[in-house]
Amino acid sequence: MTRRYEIVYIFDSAKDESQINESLDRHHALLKPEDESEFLLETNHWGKRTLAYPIGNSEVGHYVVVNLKTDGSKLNEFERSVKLDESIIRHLIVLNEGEIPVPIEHPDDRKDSDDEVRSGKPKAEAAAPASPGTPVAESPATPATPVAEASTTAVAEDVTATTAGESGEVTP
Amino acid sequence: MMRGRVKTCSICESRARVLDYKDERTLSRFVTERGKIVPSRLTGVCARHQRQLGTAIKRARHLALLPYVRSSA
Repeated sequence: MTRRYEIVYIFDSAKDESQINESLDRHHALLKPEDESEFLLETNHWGKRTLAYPIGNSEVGHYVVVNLKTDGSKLNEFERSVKLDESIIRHLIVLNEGEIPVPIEHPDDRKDSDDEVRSGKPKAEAAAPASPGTPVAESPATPATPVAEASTTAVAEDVTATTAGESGEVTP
Repeated sequence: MMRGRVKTCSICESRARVLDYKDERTLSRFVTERGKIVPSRLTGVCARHQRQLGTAIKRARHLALLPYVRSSA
């Protein structure tokens, strides 16, 4: 039975695009079903990205996301060959069925949004999570929600515990 | 006994039904500065999305999109 899988590879950043594609073709050949009409659905090269932590000696990796349809019984052999490939520093295979995630839009993105969500204030700042300074800058405006602020010290402590940098919320 | 504000699930409000483990910008809102997963008690995320968050964050960590631990420096 063929199912839909999503595979993420992290390649050694020293490899160039042609070497990566050659390696991908070699591994994907192991997954090809007899009927090749619907095999590779989507290949998405993210390019080089800094890893969140070093893996081996690598600080940077080349990410490739592949969506494909294959028979699950072929995956064992495929994964064995991927593990043996030294140019692939990490990989992840997940079933990609059911509801497909849609990208979450980010304008209203923030670390701790419940204050603003509750008061129904329009979000003025755009990329809040990137700059932890913004909640402090906004704190003069927060007394608009006095009920929520004043009585609930326990909740205020929770807020500090969650977002250590945003102590400006507690002081008033 | 005083209960705090009623928190609402910010993921439901963003109209997302399913979370994507590749979207590390969204996921990073639900980890502490140290990289721990924040309990839904603090974030107000609904149970369904908190379960999805757990798997998504762990997958993102494996792919080095999110750190397992971030040092304080």
